[in-house]
Amino acid sequence: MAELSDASLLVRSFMRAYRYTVSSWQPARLTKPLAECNVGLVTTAAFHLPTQPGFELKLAGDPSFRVIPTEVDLATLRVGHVSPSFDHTGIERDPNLALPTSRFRELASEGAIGRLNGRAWSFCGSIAKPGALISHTAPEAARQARADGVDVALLTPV
Amino acid sequence: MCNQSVGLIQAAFENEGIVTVSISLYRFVTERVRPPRALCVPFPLGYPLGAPNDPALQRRVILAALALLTTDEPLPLARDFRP
Repeated sequence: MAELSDASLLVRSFMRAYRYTVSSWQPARLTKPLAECNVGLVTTAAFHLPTQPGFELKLAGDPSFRVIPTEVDLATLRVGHVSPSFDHTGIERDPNLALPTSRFRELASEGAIGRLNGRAWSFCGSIAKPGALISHTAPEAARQARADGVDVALLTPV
Repeated sequence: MCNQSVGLIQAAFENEGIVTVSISLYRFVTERVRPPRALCVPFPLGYPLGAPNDPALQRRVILAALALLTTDEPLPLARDFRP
């Protein structure tokens, strides 16, 4: 577990003063076993394809997302994260650390899950002002996932 | 910020009827954002599934997270991962 005392003084002061937004949701319930589920992956590691634009370096944050085909060779992904408050080297060495497509293909081949969805969603998590994320971009990604028939989703921060 | 963003995106997916679980690197943020299900892991920022090129550890974290999808415990649920 990351501890607040690990963060820089500036980041620590910001995190103490910051007013976090409480999420608003209605619980969904599984209606079938995981072995039959289509799994969606979402990360805020800011991965993007070389052919996609990077994320904007705005203080308020960039609420946009990139659709990543889960068949992609992970070595080709770029990390567009702007935050200096975490060590980027882990996800650069092995993107599975935050976008575990290899692990989920293994789980699918073993029958532990039904399948890995054909596309994943990548955001840049440094969003201090999450208004547009809540009202627009997160619901848009969620609608895409529903259209794909995603049953369950795993989300990873960095 | 990443942990808040994940919780807010998670809420949008849950509201589409998708059963969601997230990894949390900062329990105190997750306790404020209150997403439906979170697995709190003892790893540094940037390392949500433990370590690069460690498929066994990544798999254990993933399986612990997936286990939260099928629990009947009251939500929101934030459980600690114990390696």
